[in-house]
Amino acid sequence: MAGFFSRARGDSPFKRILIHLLLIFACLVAIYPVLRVLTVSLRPGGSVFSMDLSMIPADATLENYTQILFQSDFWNWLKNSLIVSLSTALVSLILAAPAGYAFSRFKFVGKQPGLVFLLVTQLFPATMLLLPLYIMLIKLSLINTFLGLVFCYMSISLPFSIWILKGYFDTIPIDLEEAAWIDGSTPMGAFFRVILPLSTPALSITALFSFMTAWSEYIIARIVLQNQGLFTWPLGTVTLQGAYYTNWGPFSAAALLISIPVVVLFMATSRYLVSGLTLGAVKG
Amino acid sequence: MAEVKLVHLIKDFGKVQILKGIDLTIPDGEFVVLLGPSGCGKTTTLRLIAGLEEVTEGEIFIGDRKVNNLPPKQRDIAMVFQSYALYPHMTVYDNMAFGLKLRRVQREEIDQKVKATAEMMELTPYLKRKPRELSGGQRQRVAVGRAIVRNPQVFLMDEPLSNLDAKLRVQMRVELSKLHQKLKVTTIYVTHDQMEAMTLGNLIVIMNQGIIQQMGTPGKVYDYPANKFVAGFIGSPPMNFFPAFIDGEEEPFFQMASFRLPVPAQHREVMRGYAGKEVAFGIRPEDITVDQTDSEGRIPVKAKVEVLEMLGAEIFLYLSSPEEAFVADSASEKATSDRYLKLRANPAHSFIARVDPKSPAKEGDIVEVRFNLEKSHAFDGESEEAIY
Repeated sequence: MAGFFSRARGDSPFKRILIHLLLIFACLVAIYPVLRVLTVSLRPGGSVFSMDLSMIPADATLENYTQILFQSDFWNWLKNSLIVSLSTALVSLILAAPAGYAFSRFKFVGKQPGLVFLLVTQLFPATMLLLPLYIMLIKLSLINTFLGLVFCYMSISLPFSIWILKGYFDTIPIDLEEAAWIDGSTPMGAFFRVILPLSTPALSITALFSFMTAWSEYIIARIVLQNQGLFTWPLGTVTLQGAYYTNWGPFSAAALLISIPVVVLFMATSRYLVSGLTLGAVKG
Repeated sequence: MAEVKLVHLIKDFGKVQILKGIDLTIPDGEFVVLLGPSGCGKTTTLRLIAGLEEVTEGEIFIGDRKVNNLPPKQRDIAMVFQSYALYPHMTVYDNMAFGLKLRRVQREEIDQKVKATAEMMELTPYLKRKPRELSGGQRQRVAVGRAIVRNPQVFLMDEPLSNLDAKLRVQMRVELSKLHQKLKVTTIYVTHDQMEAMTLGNLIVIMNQGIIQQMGTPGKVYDYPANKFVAGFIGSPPMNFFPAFIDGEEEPFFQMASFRLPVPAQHREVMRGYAGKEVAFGIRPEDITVDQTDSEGRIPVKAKVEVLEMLGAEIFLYLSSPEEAFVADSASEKATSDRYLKLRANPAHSFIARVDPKSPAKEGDIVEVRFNLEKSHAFDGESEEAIY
């Protein structure tokens, strides 16, 4: 609540109320569909298409949840998704941090074009990349493997991550590294001991972004993964759809359950997203 | 502790030459101040010594070692940055211990050294705090502490006091002075503040446009400036300069736009060589008096008090010399020569006098000022080098 008041400092009460009404409206718009999914997931098999609009149906039941948890491949999908998403996040960080640092600190031929080119890759719709990615993966024998899928996701998340991290490194005074060099650190040591610890906000955003890129992605996964045992959860839940009949109850339950890890991750990292860590580094 | 030697140091940034050949030997244990206006190359010189910039040409020696190609960590130096550059994610203790840890010093030894330094810098109560929880002055002390805890051969300080308020700056200046007397480590200190330079340095190196203008003790650079730039840069308010030419055969005198002054007897010989040439006559504000009576027979010059600044212990008078010429023989042939007409084209000249607060002068007054010619200076009109 302290943030609420301090952020609004200087604004008139009327403006504050207006801002909050708008925010509440936006929240409702965002949350309403999720609540509908919750409702559907609680309905017993027979009344999925009921016209009842109450949030918790009168005959609420958890049978959809037990069905998805114990009578489907849910746990396997979850495991597969976690493997793919965490790997994407981790490898993106490992590659984007040094790359962003280089773009931020070093002078080299092709630095400016390189940065622009990274942005240009973001302009193409992901579906346009499907064919080239597919051909590449076939040639590399990475089709139908997690590695291939992570490889594809990284091609989406890396440019963005590099830009975010480059931008953040730019805000860290170079004096700090120079002080570390003089204190006896190698340039590499200064990066690990000074720059990275100061970059946790940007690193968390980058990791979160990469994780989410991979977590809910469907189309690329659909192409790369063919073996049902390797299916990530978006592919898995779609198997619940039949040609003639879709089991919406368990489907909704799965959708809700699967969103939990992202929410948890978001809450865990939100603490680091608050920047201002470099305050006090320089000047007084 | 070690001697630092720079041999014909040149530094280019792209097409711009920042340093144009610096030759400088800093004796072991000396406190040397690099002084100059911004952009003169003083910070670049420091960064070259630190190894933060690459040398374009020339050599740097620390002790007996040529360090041109050594990375900063192998030069055995410590640096205090203008921004302090404390590691924000580390406590004061860790900030000071960082360099020792990297050098794989034993944990007990680190602890003992950090605590001793903290004691000396009066930082003991703050060891567990992060830099953002400290005041400006405390951060500054941590920055200095971090430098001295490693006991390096050379201290480099890049305007370390410029972020402090005036009072704290004076206090830290005294502390740095004491610290140097205690540790006797070769120190190179960069500043654009001549007050800091005069009070801190055993030796002052005045730089301008990538060249060393003069090196000497504070007293020497003040009393015997090597050229017009040094004369104008050292001292506040700065030295007054009057455009003039030398006239008179046997007893040469400075012919100014609206008055003339004799060349002091001991400098007559050298000034005769400048007969007819343009020079700049220089006099410090404290060598001008406005007393009504003068027992030493100095020549009075009329001037108008434009502005009076009362500073308590002294008064600064902003004076302007009158436009009409009151030199007696202004009609003479020499006085109407081209040179004189050139001087007369811009006759009004402002200058500053630093006088006793008891002086009766008021704004708007026409006063008689007298110059202490024994303390005057003359500079070559073209090269601006000091003639005497």
